[in-house]
Amino acid sequence: MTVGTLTEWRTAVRFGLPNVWTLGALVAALFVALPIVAVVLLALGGDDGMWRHLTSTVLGLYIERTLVLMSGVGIGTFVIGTTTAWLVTMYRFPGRRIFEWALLLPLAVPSYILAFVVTDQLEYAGNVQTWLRAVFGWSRPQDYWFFEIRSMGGAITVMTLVLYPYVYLLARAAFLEQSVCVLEISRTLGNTAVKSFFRVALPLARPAIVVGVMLVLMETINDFGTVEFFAVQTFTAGIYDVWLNMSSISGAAQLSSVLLLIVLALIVTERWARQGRRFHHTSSKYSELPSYRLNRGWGWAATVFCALPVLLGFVLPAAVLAAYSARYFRATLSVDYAGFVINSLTLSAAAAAMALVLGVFLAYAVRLSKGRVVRIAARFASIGYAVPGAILAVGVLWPMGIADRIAVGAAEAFGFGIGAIFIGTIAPVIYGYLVRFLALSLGTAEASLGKVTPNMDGAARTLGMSPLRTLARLHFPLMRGSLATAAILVFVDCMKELPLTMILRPFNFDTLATFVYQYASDERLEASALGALTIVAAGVVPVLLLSVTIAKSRPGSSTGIGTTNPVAPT
Amino acid sequence: MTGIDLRDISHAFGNTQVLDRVSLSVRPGELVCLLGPSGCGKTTLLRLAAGLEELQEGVISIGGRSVAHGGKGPGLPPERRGVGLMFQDFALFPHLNVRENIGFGTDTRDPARQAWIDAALLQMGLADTAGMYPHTLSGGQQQRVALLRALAPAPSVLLLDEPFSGLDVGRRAQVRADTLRLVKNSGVATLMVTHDPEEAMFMADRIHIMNAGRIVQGGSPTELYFEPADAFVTEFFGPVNRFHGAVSGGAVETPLGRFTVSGFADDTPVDVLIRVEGLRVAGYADAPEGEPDDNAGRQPASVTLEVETARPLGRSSYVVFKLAGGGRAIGRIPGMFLPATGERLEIAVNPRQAHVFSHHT
Repeated sequence: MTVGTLTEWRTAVRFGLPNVWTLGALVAALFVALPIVAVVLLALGGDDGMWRHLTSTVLGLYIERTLVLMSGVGIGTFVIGTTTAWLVTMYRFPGRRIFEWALLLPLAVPSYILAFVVTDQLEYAGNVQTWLRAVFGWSRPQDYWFFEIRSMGGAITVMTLVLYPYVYLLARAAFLEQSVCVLEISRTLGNTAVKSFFRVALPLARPAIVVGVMLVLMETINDFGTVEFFAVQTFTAGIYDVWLNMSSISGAAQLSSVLLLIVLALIVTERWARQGRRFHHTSSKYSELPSYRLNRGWGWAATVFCALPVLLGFVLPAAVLAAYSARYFRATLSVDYAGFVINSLTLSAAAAAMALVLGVFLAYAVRLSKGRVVRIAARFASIGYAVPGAILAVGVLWPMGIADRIAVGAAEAFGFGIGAIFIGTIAPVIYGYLVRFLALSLGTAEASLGKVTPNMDGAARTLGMSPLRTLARLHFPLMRGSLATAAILVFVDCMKELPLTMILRPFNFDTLATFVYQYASDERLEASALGALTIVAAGVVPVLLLSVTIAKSRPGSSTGIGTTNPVAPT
Repeated sequence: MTGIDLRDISHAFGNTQVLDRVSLSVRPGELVCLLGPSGCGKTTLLRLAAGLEELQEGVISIGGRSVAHGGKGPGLPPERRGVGLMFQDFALFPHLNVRENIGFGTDTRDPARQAWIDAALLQMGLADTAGMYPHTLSGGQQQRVALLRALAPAPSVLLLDEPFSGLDVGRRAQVRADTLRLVKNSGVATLMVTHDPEEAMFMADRIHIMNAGRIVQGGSPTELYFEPADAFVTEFFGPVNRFHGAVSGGAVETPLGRFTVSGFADDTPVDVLIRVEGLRVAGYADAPEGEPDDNAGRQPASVTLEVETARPLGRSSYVVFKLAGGGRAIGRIPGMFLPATGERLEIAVNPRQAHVFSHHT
């Protein structure tokens, strides 16, 4: 424990109990940490021989598959994200203005939905192969070779296409922030534009790009739908398998604990990279970035390079789903579409409201307390975004079970019997959402609270405002917009969330995401097309919000990638 | 009755003592400057006076009424102290326009205050910007908005924290003059914090010099300039030539001449600090005039020195002299005075610009 925290504790002891902020922040941190701690405890506690079985059979495979997937997606998103960011930031070519925001669109598509659409198009009975057979007169599978989309390569491609916007977003922000002077100096020192990119711009943007890639990797290991559908045996698929098919919760917890180590490495790398960012602004002089006009050939090459990810990652799935929705509208009506929508809305709205309240509370706690305890607690409360949904699912049930037992015990003490009031309801799902997405609301609340400088508070107070009126007349008007954004971000992420919902939902309770997943993985994409399209449409909302933020963020003004992640984890 | 009175204020952040038994008071209509290097505790004193920081030790009274007593709780909250505070970064509210910012602390139903605001907007040349938002204003305009916002509720005490440091140098002189006029007209007791001695001398009726949490000297601008209490104060008001010597027969010998000293025993090691503007060239017509008489009990010194270089500064010239012992002396001579290298000049030092202090190692 550091000196700072010790002093704070001593102060707390001297003045009685820690104040409501410190106490609240600690409770919130504990609340979020509980599922993660539970996983480790479960892993250490139960020994049903599963671990030995796992290590001797599939563990090596899980590790290998997970690492291959991570490497593939990491490299793919790095190349696409960084290159497109550099192109739209530095060059003028046909369509640049559109690509600036359109490149973010694939973020709206959950990877499992893209996986379904791509499979639907590329499998033997799909449009592409049917067309090829018609053109070349083939009639049997033996007549020609066609790649298998349901493979590791397919998973890497699909995830790269929907996750590269993280890298694009952060790399672009970093390029925009760079003082144009350093690039011009590089040119005067004899480097070509391309050479300047590799020698100056890329090294300067490296910390931001690392953060982007780390977010991508967190999403990659969180993914459940794609790997399960493509039969790629990663950790996440394994946890699900061991838990639900082999009925070994301790085995699932043990796998989760190993995966947590990878997550920890990602978090540490991300934090380290974020800290590195601080040292990078040496020049305070910014001028409008010059944009070099590309000649016709290179210009169109740039257009194609930027268009491909947008077309494959967003336009294709959206168009296919829209076409299916229109054509199979009747099939859609045969399922309880409205019911799924209501379920999704209920869960997401509840989680968003709670995440907002908790996020704002923690943001104020951090601001009001000078000590370190609260700041550490708040940081801790926001690590959930890095923890895969499958792990959280394992961890959430345990504290919920305890809560149930306490509730039942209390009820009995008062003379009446009740059943479980948490497990089997939507409470565990909302708890899981809250843990996973609290970082979004906390980050947004902190960023917007940061716009209200302490001196503004001081000015309002010396101008005769009580703390409460300062809140009403200064903080609320300034934060209103950002808080709405935070609520939307959490809301949409909950709509898209699959692994957590899949495992924790009550029996016979389906959200849009779980319904789409079950139907589509059963090759009934048509009936679920409208559901999938709804999820994509919801996902477009935060993308639009982000692109507005980007359009506003000009060099010199700091927006977006401060201490937290404005990007919605898929 | 005093405007604001600060008695024996001490304050520490953790183990760092930032204020050490500081006492000062400002009368209504008076402008007092707290002058010192950055990080010497000046801003903390303002925050304590405004009630934004809890007082640890000492007593603060405003208008004769005690508003905070060290160790006895937070005292009167800032909103009830009747203190206007202007921040270094102005802290304008980004969601309010100029008129709304200035009116923030006033009662919108009070016609007198609203009329004052309208008159002030006009007087400060802000009438056209009333509907504009802070980020569209220039630095000078933002400064004036912040100042009017602090004055609008008619506070009895105005606290200014480095009010001109955010402005570019070309703007400062004008804004400074405007601010001084407005503040003096309003009759408020003003306590201003700055690290710029020129600014302090221009604005203040009285200056308190602070160093490392203590007030080292207080007085009128002229007193501080001509009668600094120690080497720190002397150097704070501008560059000096510093020599080390020992007292002998009631005087000390320096490469720039012999200076009589009083109050030091023989053989006391002393530092002699001579302001660069204290060097005069004998027979040079453009010598400064109107300074207090040189011969007030002190003997003028005169030496002959060789010019090493001379550079123009515009209103004055920067002349470097070679000293016999191998060192250099610097003189700032008024006007365009550019002697050739190697030229020998007779230099007389204004004894009022030479300050002798016992030597601290």
